[in-house]
Amino acid sequence: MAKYALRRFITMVVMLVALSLIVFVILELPPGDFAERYVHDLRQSGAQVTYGQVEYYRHMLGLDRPWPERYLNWATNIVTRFDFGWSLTYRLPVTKVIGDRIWFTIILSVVTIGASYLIAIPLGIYSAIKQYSTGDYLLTILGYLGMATPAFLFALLLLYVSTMYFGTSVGGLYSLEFQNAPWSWNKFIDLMRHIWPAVIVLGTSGAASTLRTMRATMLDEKNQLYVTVARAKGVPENKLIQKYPVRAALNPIVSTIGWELATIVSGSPITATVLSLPDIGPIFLKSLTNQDIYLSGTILLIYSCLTIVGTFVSDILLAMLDPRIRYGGIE
Amino acid sequence: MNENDLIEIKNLRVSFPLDEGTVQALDGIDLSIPKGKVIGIVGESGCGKSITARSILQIIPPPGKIDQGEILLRTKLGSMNDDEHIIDLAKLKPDSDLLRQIRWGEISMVFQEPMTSFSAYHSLGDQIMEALLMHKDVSKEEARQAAIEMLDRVGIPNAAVRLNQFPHEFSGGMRQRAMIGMALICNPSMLIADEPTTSLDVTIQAQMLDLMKDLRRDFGSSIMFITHNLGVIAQIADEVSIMYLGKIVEQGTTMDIFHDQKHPYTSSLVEAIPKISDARKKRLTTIRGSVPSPFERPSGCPFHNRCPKMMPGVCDVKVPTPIDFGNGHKAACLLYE
Amino acid sequence: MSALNSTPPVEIPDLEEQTMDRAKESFYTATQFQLMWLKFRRHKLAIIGMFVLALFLIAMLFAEFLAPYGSQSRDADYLFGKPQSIHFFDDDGNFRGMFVYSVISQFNIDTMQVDLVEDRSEIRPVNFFAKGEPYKMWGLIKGDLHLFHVEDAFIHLFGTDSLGRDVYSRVIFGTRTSLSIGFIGVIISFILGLAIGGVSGYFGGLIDDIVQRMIEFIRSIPTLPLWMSLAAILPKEWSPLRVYFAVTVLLGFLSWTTLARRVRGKLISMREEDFVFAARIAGSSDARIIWRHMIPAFLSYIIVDLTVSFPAMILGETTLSFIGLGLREPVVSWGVLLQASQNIKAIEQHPWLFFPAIFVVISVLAFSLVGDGMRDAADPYSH
Ligand SMILES: Nc1ncnc2c1ncn2[C@@H]1O[C@H](COP(=O)(O)OP(=O)(O)O)[C@@H](O)[C@H]1O
Ligand SMILES: [Mg+2]
Repeated sequence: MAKYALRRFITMVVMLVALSLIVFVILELPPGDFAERYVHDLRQSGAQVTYGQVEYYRHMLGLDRPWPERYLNWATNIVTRFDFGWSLTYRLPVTKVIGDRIWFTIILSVVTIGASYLIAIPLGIYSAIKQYSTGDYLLTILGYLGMATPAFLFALLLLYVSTMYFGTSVGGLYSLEFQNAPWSWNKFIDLMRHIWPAVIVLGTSGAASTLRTMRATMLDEKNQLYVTVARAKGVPENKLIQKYPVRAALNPIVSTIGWELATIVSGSPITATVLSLPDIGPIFLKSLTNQDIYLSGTILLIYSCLTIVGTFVSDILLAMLDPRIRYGGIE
Repeated sequence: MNENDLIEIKNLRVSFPLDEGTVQALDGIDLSIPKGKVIGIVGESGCGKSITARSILQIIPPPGKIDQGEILLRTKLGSMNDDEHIIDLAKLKPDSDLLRQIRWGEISMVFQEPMTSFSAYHSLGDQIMEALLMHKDVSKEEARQAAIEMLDRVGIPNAAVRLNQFPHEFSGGMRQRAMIGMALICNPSMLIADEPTTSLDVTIQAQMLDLMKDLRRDFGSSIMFITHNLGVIAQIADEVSIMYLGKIVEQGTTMDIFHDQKHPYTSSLVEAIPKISDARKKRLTTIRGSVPSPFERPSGCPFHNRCPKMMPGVCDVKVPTPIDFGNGHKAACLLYE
Repeated sequence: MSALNSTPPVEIPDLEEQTMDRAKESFYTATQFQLMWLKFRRHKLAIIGMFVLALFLIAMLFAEFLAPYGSQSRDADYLFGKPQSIHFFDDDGNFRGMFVYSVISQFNIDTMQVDLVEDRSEIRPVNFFAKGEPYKMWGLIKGDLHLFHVEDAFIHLFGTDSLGRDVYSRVIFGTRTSLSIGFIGVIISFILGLAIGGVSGYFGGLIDDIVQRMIEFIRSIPTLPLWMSLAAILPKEWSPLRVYFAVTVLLGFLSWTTLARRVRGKLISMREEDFVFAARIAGSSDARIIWRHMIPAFLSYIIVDLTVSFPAMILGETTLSFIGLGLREPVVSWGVLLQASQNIKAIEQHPWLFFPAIFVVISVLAFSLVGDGMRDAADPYSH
């Protein structure tokens, strides 16, 4: 088991390195760079710019160096100084731009996944136990709808309903006094009070699929022979369901938590933009359209890191929760 | 109900209402199981052996249901003054306390597939002790000791360590041994063994049969031994019931069934056993025709379309009733009416 | 009893096996697809989904006929116009068939604004299968027949956008674009998945290892951010049509991994399976084994996987176009249409611009329902 974890960990690190390279290359691919774009914008606003100025900016920003060199610089700085480069749009270090937003993103995702498990798992169990009941049909329909509605459309709908019928916008996340306050417990509590619309929007599709998975695995497990054996042993029905099928059905769900978390984070940029959340999504979009490659590269790297780390956590959890893997040989 | 009988099943009918139609899995079963005897149930796959067994514990897979009949059990459980009395299991509610006490407390069962009989997520010990803790007033530690002893008894070496292991760490044969151990741990009055050796390979099958014979001697429980293999029955059973399409077509002592069969179906089954003497000369005799689809039961005698002695105009019209040939030997065949 | 006890434990003809053989025989006489269809039919929701998809397919094929106007035709007098009501009875309560009223601008003294109101004096009947705006079906066949048309007035079932373009017609044309992206994307991932998974599973060894690591790597990059990044680097000066193809290829390229894994897994497991073995013993050639036995056995799974990957493609396109990284006018897709309702103000004032969203949800829903039904039907062990 420990050996397995170590091997997975090494794979993860190798993946991360390869990934940072790929990310850099992808963002390097397009012709033109920030200098051109910047000068183009200046021209649009009526300023007189010469070709020499493009060259000047390019040199000043180090954009004229070959890309492997720039990649190495970037990567070295990340590792040695935790310096992800300079955001050309915001004229700030990338770490500053991302700053608090990453914490917000993480809090939002964790709360979302917590809420979605808390709701979806019991409903999934209920749906399976009461198969073909009215409640089951209702949940099935809701589940399908939840999975079919893209989060950003759902966000728009929620905005619409709340402004039309409640007269309030759900956009604001903090009370006035916390708007620009540094992170504190009180600010966190305040955030929790306002965060729910975002949680609903981001969590629905995940919750819907958790519900469907839970129901399906429960139904599968419920008819397994070992459940009949337990019943034949005289175990009362309630206890039996909890001990056997629920345990088996929870396994795939709990063990994919890392992966699920990464899905929520990386699925959020558009929704966050629509809801104008102070999360890394909106700046990711902006940096992409501005070819602000250190910023967009860093954020893409964050998303990918979360996915890789999430997958790693899930693999380890899966191994820990499943005795067949825990005590058996892997592969 | 006979004094010596532990269980008496009367006119048991079980059906499965499916989308495609209703399957009559059991079509009026009459069977009694005397105390301390081994009763063999034999029949081709799909004839209703497992459903008969599962009816006793009320664990028929949905949507199956008992339509009619009684399953009488002589037991001390649920009686006011600790005397033996008779309970109709078919009348008990599936989640009633009394039925749960009877399950495993009085009647336990070993299933055909040892690979899926245990939950993969719980240790073997957990699952075996669960049975004991459910029915006997013992501490966890006592349950543990009992489980170790039992595993030892059914031939699992190093039982104290093995108890903490998970099912995937056991071979099919070992799992079935553990299953038998779990079935006997509450010292039930009857053990149902539903094709306990079918899914194991041949050498293990023989070991398993030896184990069953030993246990039978030591524990003195009645055993309902289900198989589709007559050769196995010959080695272990006192009495045999032959099933065909949800009916018992012949029953009698093992001697009667092997040497004095009355029903043509039983005869074909016995003829189908290859004898060592003619193994090289002949192809195996098999029963001609196939088991009819469960949705279309034949009229008259259910076996008539495959029967070598079929009497046109009689067998396909009239439903045979069991005829007593004395000493408990009965056969339901129109040849004798 | 004792005499019998000495019966030697010889091999007994296994009665169970005989019945099994018969079951297998009849199983293989009904073709696998017949069986699947029988099972599929039992899922009512999947059947409904199938029906809805058929409607979408018709809309996709005959968009020009179903839409009363072109995707760029404008009604300069009816900007941001509300969906028009369809009437059957005139003001006196007489049945007049299906008709609309024409719309006139009226100055509203109270609000100091121009309102668009129905002119109830004149009835404009809705004509079915009538001649209307000329078009070229698929850019090839000239025609001017429309499913419905209103003479001397206009009919905007879903209202109009800022330029006075008919939202209903645009949604119909958007259906063609969005679904075609799905189809082409699915075909691309089908070919890639089959080829790469096939090579990986067939050759095994080092090639298999490399392909597997590669797939693992691709899957570790989160889809949406990657899509966004790749879409963002498409050159700005590309024509909308070129962008359309680029986005399609992009979506197709990134979702072949699931299929490749499935194909590889199936190939590997089937090499050992009984029926392949049996066919080999019986002297079938490799090619025959592959065509007669292996392909049918997993074609169903492939079809299921493809159906299931459809919604992801549609959602991918919609999302990218919605945020402006995907398709652009004059190409219309559901995502492009939804750009008009990007913020709450737009939806508040012109909620009908949100109509395309309903189409997105319904199509994704229909694909998921059909996909689930097929998954169940393809699984030989499910009940
Ligand atoms: N889960 C089920 N659903 C529908 N029909 C069933 C089910 N289980 C058993 N049956 C029906 O009951 C009949 C008897 O089955 P069973 O007792 O399992 O046969 P066997 O003698 O092989 O143990 C079968 O022919 C089948 O038609
Ligand atoms: Mg059986």
